[in-house]
Amino acid sequence: MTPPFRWTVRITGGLSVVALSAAVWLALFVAPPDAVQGDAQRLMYLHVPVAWLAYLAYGVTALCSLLYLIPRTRSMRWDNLAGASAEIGVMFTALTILDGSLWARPVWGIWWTWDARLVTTTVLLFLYLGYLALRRVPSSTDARARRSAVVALLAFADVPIVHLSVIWWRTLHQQPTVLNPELNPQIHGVMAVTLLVSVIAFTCLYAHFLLRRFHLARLETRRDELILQLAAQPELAHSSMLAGAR
Amino acid sequence: LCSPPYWRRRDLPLSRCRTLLATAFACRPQIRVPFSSARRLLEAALLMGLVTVYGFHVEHPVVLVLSAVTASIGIAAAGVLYATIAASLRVRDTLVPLLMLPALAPVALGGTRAWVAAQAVGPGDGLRWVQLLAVFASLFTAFGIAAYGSLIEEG
Repeated sequence: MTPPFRWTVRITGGLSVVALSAAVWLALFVAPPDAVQGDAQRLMYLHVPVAWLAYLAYGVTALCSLLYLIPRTRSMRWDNLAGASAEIGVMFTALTILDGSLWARPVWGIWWTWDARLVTTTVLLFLYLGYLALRRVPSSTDARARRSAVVALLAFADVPIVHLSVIWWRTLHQQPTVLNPELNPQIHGVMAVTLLVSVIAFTCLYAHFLLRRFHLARLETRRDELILQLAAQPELAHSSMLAGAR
Repeated sequence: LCSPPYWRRRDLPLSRCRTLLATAFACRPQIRVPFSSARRLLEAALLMGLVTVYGFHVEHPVVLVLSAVTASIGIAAAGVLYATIAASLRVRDTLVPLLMLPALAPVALGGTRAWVAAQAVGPGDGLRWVQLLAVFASLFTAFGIAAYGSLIEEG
């Protein structure tokens, strides 16, 4: 890990802790309870940022995949970054479904319903689980990266469907409050600030996770290359084993 | 379309397009996907079943036909593309359904809603669902044309 990279990881980690603390304080003690939903609405400060961050993570995956597929910009760096971002996106999507379910129980009276937003989000989760499964299939590095990039770009087509599902279909899930078609956020000032702080906090957390996972992916790539080198030169493998034994 | 020269000249975009369409709508032994001829027969049989058993009355035949055609193209294009991606892998039998089933969810949704709209009296929103199916089919066909050659070569 180079010193600037290490410092970036530390800074994003520190910012995440500070911003998440501020978001928790604002969400639990400053923002007023909702007039209809009461305290259950406070889950929105977790639900909305993780859902948006999942979109962002998949957007980064799609962009990196595209850069990998373009011959001029092809580099394993983009493939590693795409895989790292997709893993975080899957985690955030699962968290979105989970905390949405926790919120739905007191507000809707049910844990789950076959609602367009819920179904398309679950489809999105499965699309990217398939993508991650494809990345785990043993294959040559370039072939795996190229296949994964195509699948990532195709999977990203579901993101606008998820976002627009509440507009296209008549759903139990509420319409977009902030990113609505009129671009006119319908939210109280303190609630908007709390939501903004939460989004910033989770964005820092996403950046921190992404950098850490990207570094790990690079180490994995280097390890795989080393294993291949050792397999190609048995005497080198023997000497390194002896060195290890010593 | 399936004559050998087209298969050898994968470098040309037009040739890739022909290869993709030929694979989707004809029967190539290299890639096993549910082919369109069988699907067309299944669609016709299901429609006959709907008409006779449930008294399905078609108010908008254009919506019905267009949705069936666009959905078939979408499923065929997605099937060929995902099958090509997984063709050289040992876990292809598990991987293709895992990748394809969630990807085909928009076709299932759009197709169902379009067929519901096709039997609705008065102006329905069937063409909106046909548009969604057409976007899906165009997306996968365009991706297939762009990626098919390189995916086949690497496989």
